[in-house]
Amino acid sequence: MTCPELVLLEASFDRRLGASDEATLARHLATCAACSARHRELAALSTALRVPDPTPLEHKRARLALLRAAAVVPSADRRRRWVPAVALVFAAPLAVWAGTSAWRSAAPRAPIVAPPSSSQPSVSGSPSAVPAVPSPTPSVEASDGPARIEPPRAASLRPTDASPRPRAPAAAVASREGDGASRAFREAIDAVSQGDFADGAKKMDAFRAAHPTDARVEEAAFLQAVALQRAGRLDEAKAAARRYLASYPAGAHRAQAARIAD
Amino acid sequence: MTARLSVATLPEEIRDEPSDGELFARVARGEIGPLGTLFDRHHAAVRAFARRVTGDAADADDLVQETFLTAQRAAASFEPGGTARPFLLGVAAQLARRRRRTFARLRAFLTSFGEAPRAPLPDQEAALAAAEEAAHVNAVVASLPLEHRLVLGMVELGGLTGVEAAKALDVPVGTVWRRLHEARGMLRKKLERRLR
Repeated sequence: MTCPELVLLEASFDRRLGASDEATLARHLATCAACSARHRELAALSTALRVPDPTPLEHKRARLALLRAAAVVPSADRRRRWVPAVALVFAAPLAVWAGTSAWRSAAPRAPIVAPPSSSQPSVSGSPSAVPAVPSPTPSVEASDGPARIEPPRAASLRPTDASPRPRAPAAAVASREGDGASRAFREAIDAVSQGDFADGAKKMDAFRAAHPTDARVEEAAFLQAVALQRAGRLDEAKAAARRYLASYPAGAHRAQAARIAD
Repeated sequence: MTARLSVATLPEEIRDEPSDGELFARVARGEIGPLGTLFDRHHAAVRAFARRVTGDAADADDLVQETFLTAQRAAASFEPGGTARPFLLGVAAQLARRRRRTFARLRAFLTSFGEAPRAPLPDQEAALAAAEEAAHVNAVVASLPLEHRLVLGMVELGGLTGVEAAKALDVPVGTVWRRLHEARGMLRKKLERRLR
């Protein structure tokens, strides 16, 4: 196998030859057994190296996984990294306090920790704003899996007067209002996380309108701008980002909002 | 017939569609949808490249996703004017170089468990034979040096020209041809009986 044309053969597989050289090589292959054998070998190697195309299902799954990962908004990403530390800092004292509280009081339990709703742990609102003070809530239910730490809700976590615990009716009403806001915010977050940016933006807007005094309004205003941007509605995204900057000039997301508003 | 995702049929499928450059510009502005379109166009090629470079399906899938996420973050640096494939394969190559040690450690850890041999059912024998053949080719390719696998994946599977591969790997074009020649030589030697 010392035919000088072997060099041409490999160059052909590298797609380096012009049309005339390819034609010369084809004529040579018809007469040279060594080059012809090497040609078959290289062709077989090319075939062996080929990787089957993904099936439509494989493609769809990979596409969905990519878009989900790509759609993670920066703030949500930062919060997720907080979860283990936040969970340890707040879950331990809450659990200890919950145990003693449950032992002291036989009142009906009103869990403030929502049951796991997804495979990913999440924390809504600013973790540092959760007050580490005794509250009228009689107990906290803790379980394995994702925990949801709600931002401060005055009516449910902070004692408003010196009345004896538990204040069941008032607490229940306040809890229902808090649940409504939390549900609306969660639904808006879910829509954005699932890549339904138009719906997410709409829900963020509705949340801001329905719960203007909620602690998560700033977050919703920023996420609305992000969702609009991701939906390709750039003018609306810029307007939303400018609204955010006007309302929260020292807001936590001002740098990112400014980039969207540019 | 369902539209195939084959690289060969892509030019017809994407006719009258926005160019890769336009899609990257929109991704750089924060849109997600165009990233999906880029994925549709180049998934098969990036996946084939990743399979041959990592030698493992799960590692390859991770590398593919990481490649597109990195491309999303670096979208503004994409130079418009041609297909995104050299850019994407270049990103994948950089990531593969960075993750080389991780892959090696993980593979050593997983193979340390071994797997108990099972007797195949009669109708599974042909499929198993094909799978074993593919696994053997995988193992042989995985035994090549990484830089040789990168060149092989780019030119042989990704369809890049030598100049494009050289640019993506930041090496002279002569190095690409030399590594490709060496890689084929090593493979021919190790797969000799199977190639006849």
